[in-house]
Amino acid sequence: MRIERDVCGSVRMDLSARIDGESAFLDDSAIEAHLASCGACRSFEGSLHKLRRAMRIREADVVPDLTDRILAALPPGGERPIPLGTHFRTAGLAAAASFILLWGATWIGGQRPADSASAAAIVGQVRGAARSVSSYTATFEIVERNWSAALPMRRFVASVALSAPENFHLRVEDVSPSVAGYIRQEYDLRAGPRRWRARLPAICAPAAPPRCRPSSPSSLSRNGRQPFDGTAFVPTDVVLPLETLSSTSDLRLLGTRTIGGREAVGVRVSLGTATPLLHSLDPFGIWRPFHPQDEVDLWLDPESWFPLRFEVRAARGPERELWAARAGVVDRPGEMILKAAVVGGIGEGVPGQQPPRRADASTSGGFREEGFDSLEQGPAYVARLEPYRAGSTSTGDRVVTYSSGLAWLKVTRSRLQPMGVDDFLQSEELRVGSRFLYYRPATVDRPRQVDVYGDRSQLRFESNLPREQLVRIALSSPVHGTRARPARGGAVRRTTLNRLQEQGIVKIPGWMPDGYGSSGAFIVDGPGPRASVVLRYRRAEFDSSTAGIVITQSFQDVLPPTSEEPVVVPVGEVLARWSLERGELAFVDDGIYVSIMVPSFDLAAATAIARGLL
Amino acid sequence: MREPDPGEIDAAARGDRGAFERLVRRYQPEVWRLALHIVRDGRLAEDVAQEAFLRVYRFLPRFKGDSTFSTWLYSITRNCAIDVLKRSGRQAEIVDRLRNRPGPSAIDPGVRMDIKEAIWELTLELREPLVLIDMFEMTYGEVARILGVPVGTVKSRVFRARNRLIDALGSEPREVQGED
Repeated sequence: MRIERDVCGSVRMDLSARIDGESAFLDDSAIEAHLASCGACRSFEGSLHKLRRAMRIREADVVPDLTDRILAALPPGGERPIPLGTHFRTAGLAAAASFILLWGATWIGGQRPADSASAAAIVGQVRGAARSVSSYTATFEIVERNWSAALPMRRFVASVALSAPENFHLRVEDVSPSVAGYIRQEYDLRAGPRRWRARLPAICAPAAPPRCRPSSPSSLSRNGRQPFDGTAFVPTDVVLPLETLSSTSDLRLLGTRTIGGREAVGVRVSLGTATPLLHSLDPFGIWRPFHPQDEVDLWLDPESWFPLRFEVRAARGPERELWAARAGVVDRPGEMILKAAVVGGIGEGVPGQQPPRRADASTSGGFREEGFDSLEQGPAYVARLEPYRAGSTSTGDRVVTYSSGLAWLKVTRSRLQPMGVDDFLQSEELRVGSRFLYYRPATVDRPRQVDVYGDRSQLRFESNLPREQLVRIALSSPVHGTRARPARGGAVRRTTLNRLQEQGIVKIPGWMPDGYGSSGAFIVDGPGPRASVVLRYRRAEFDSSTAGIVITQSFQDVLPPTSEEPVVVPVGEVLARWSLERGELAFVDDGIYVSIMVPSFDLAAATAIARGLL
Repeated sequence: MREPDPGEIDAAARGDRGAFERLVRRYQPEVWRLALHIVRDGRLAEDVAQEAFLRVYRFLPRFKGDSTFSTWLYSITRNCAIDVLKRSGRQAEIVDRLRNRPGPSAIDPGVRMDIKEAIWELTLELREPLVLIDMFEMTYGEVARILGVPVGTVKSRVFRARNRLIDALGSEPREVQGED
């Protein structure tokens, strides 16, 4: 009896640590085994979750404002001199610009790499600002160049209004010069928590003269949508560039300048990284094409971190010229090909109401609002977000969501199903003790995700919170997290880089672009004796590509045929084939076929990876 | 608690009153809340918050970043709270609490309590880590650093605190309606 009580005491202490996400040294299998046979401890676990919820929903304290009292109590004397005898400005420069001066970042025109501490601070500041944004309005003037020889410059005016977390309005007016055959590409997208409606733009081909036709249907609507369902694009990154600036890789500081009478902090990223920002002002893709290596200069208000202006400049190099020829655009290297700038200032405001009108095409999301259930066992840790909406989908999945400002979290509980092969291949398997989680970075089409599989159900966590917080949230859930198997059974098996290196049958790349890390290694069975080894690499927070960088190797001594005109690229002593359309560099070396797919169609990166394999 | 950017701290350390004021405005509510849960008196919590920020102002040039700013700030707040309690004449009560001897307002297991009351009835030794974990969402490592104890001790105290609260509140902790 005494021994049983000690075991229960130990398990209950572990359960207490587990709901805090402190799972690193816990033996989950032993805990689960004990819970399976001890009703008292199962009841205790339930009480822990209820207590946690009760502490979170406790009565709010009325916090006194003590700032004036504290400042009045400081020793007199004003500012103390800086040790070297110099003073720095405190008026007119916001905190971010001040720290940029202190850290010695480059000024405009300089090309020094970003100071990592300053870049990290900007990323942190943008993340932190997300919770304090409740409403936003702004008008952008957009100038686009070289869309068509007949219309080398187009102009748009975009009005954005947002009321966090899900009310928004994006209206784009086309104020381009009139040209025969051109139909102005204007649209209006409005969304609320439960429905959205869009008037769609005309469809235009940039021929000479342009060939346009009205879109059909001309308007769409969706009712009964789930919270944060992704079917209506919320232009979050034009309000705060949360995904564009989700990590410091590919981020260079430009310094500060004055824009429209406001101090602004500048950063430079590749267009691939800035895809969420551009997509937020161009959700229907009416702008001209850009190359992923084109550079984007983004200027931010250092107090609010709202974008004030961004510019896209054509990258340089023969690869971009080759792409431009195939895309039908004529850009000069370094030319500014898109500019979007706030006009008239940024303010607080809510999207205007408009009487509902029937759309040409309507769909229903089938979501049923049900509210939060006090008995529900959700994640114990939700990063201090507040309960937002909860309900059920048409397929019976339970959805609960949390938000604070622009930051949000969605938890979907569904019946246990095998993991889809695509999800299996794109997921990074994280192991914490005996628990398994499956992580996927955010892309243009979907948010950051973590899947956790239990015995009878599975949870999907989706959020725009950073990876570390999302993983911690998932770890605080009551679902254990078993190892997932793909729907195709044994045809795809997960392995590890260490195991592959020990076996010595495949090559492991010695170089990856900045910000990329291994997200999984797989063995894919093929017909006959042919099996392939697939290595995947992703960026941690946001990846412009769904697949990331994919390196496939198999025993094969010829390249597969292609219908594309081959572009031959020497890689060391090997001749490789470059496919511009697929972004794939392929070659055979010593009887092993190697394919390197890079999402940004960056031949230089693919070549560097290939050299690291030879 | 969001960490301030290094430039803000540096500016405040160099005597920039504007930067220090921004730190105060941002963190004062959290400092007051933490103080309130330690001293259990709103007026005393105000004294603690003022004292804590005065110490921050005085010692900020010595802050080397070997912990997060919030960990450093919470440590100072805690120390100030203990000092204020002592100055207010509650030393005996502190000793009793730290030695796990229940005071006059012991938890009556027969009475269902408001959760805030139940938290405040915990000894300081159990209340501090619980508040830092559950209300300030710190990690065990951060709390261990603030309290100057091993991580295992934090784990044990949080568990004991929750155990007591579950017993005190009965099987169904009564939830106070929060703000929307």
